[in-house]
Amino acid sequence: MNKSEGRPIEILLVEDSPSDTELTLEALRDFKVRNHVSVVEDGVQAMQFLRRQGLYSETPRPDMIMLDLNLPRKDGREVLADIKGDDQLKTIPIVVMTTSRAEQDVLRAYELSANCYINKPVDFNQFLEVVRSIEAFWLYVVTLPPAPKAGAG
Amino acid sequence: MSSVTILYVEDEESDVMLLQHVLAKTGIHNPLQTVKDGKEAKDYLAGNPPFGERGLHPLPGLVLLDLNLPYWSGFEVLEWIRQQPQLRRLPVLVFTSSSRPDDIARAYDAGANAYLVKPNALADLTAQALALRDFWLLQNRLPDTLGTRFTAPSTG
Amino acid sequence: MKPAVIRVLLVEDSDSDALLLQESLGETRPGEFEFTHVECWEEAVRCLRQKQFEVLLLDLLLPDITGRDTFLRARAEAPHLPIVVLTGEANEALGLDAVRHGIQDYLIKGQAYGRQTARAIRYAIERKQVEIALTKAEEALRDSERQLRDWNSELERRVAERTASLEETISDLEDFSHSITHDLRAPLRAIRSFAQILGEECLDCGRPRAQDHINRITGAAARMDKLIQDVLQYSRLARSELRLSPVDVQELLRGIIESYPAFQPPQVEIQIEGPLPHMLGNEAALTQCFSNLLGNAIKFVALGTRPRVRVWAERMGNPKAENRNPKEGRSPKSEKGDKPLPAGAEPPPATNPEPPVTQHASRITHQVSPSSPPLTPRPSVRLWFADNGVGIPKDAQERIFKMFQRLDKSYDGTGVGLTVVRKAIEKMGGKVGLESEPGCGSRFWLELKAVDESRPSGNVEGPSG
Repeated sequence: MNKSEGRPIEILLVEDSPSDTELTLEALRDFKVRNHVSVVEDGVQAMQFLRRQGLYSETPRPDMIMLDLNLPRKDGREVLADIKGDDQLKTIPIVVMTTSRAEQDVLRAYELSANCYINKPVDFNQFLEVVRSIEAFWLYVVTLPPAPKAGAG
Repeated sequence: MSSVTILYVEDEESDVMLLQHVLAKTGIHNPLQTVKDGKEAKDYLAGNPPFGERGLHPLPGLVLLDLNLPYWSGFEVLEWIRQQPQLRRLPVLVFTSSSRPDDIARAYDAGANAYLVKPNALADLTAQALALRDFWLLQNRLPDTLGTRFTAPSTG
Repeated sequence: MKPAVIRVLLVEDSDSDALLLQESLGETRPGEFEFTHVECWEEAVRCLRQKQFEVLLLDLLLPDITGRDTFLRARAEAPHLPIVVLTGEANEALGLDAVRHGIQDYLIKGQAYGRQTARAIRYAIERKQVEIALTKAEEALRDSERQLRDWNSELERRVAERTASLEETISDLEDFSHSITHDLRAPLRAIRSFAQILGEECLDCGRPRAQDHINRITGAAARMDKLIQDVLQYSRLARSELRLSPVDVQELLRGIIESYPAFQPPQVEIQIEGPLPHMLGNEAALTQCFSNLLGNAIKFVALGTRPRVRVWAERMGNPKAENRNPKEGRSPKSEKGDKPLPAGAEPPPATNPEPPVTQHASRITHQVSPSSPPLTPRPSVRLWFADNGVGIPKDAQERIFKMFQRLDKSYDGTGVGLTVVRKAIEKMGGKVGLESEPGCGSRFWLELKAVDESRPSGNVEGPSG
């Protein structure tokens, strides 16, 4: 089981819908495993956050990323490809959360090495249920990867 | 709930029995296929004999993979899966007793979808099975690359 | 002792000059010089190869070679022979040139005969000997330098080898302990899990004692599993270097309590009397220590009692400073015993009739790590964990920090928790101690250096051991 060992699990939520963000934060707030959520609203900010650039120079390294596919400025699929193509970032599990039900999108996401693919339900209660199942699996049952040892550069 | 076949790659018979018990207990009725080493795993996934009959040995929609295997290690199996064009998108959950950071990092690096440490208490194993059921089989969309029919996630 | 005769090879084509030289030298120093006279360079070379000479007197104007060539060739032909060149009055520059090229001296014909010539010759011989000795000394020096460099490289190579070998050993130990614990825990997993399945299957079998037996099996297996994990953790701690940095212990404690429902109300009441000063330590190791101390504090209570724990900090640093918490729970005896030992002091002698309890524990720490550095005058902080548990009898207080010591087996535990605490704190350069009496609860303390909270944080290596 994921022992947080006193340190909260760092989650990066990449989401441009304020209501979805609010719902997700609410659901994560009471979970039995301590976690801390950082929120960015578009793909550009997401990459800056992960690469600790600009305004985001002091950000913690996320243990897990929840990623919406439809983002302004830089599409979620591009973000996914960028993260999984970066040696320093690719081990971070990415939970794709999106409204798109298209089979093509599912395939494409797994093709780009998304760890899993979740459809966001419209119904509020179902949304909570989904986040709960994400929590139970990814924050409690799964052992998340350690940060890689610093490479060159 | 998705009814994909689950392939469990595990050489310890007791661990297989435990998983079967717990899957039954948590209402997971997906067909469970087991192979006991890396070679069998590759043969199964490739459809080589004695696993050539897809009616009997359907391609799995989810793989549970132990790392501690004879002949080929779990890592080698994982790396092989990620190199096969048809299997590249196959979700693989590493399910092992090792909690070594090196193993965990390597597994994610090699493309494992998630890493689960085998718990020592039955209650914890049950909790893992429940989380697996609720997340992977109910909520998660599995990639339909393998021609297996998947059911849309239930809303209940 | 009669000085040896100096054999001179005189290369001079003018007979008269040669004669003059020989006669004047013979007069001044009878018997000292023995001359061999040749008239050209070719003959001189023949003589040099056949006979031994102490000095070469060389005219720079010869039939077969003149000027610079002469002395250069001569030096090449007889590098170990002192050479004095003879030159005409008009040719002093040539003489100087010769000297610059390693010729010992020059003499101007017609000027310096007799005594001066004799002296010149003798000095030339001496100078040449000094030159040879110097050269030998230089060579010897260069040889020792080279030897030293070689030894240095060899030493560096051996150190690198040993370090690599040590790192390999540590890595092997790491692998070994992982394998061992893995291999030990695997069968335990089977035992526990199948016993639990058996328990489920047996619920309706109408044999109540069977349930009890099964519970004992699972309980024992669970304890063994925890023991293996604790020992693994201890050995990992013992092998590692702990990096120290300022730790916000209050935040750390809060985090631990928040993470474990077992530490939260209503089951237990943990009161932190903050603000707690920051301490210099290793965050991960301190997390483990606090968990173990809190875990112990809430575990060993009398049946039916709700565990209560109080955590507070005491600033130490001046042996005379009594900057302490005057709350209840401290007997007069422990007030006296609380005084920390002054820097570098020896523990009190064993004949002291009533050694205060804290010094008892401190003495243990000193004994266990005799090579640990003495208390430095730098201020430290003592963090206290007081509980309302059953207390620990004095004669057991030494033992409980040792591995596998469990005082009361009716309480859960592996006997490794306090050992880990002590090892970890020692690795951070601190001390641990205990005050307790049966029926009065226990007060564990750990002491680490204080951190000036206004200073920027940095990383420091802790003392290893």
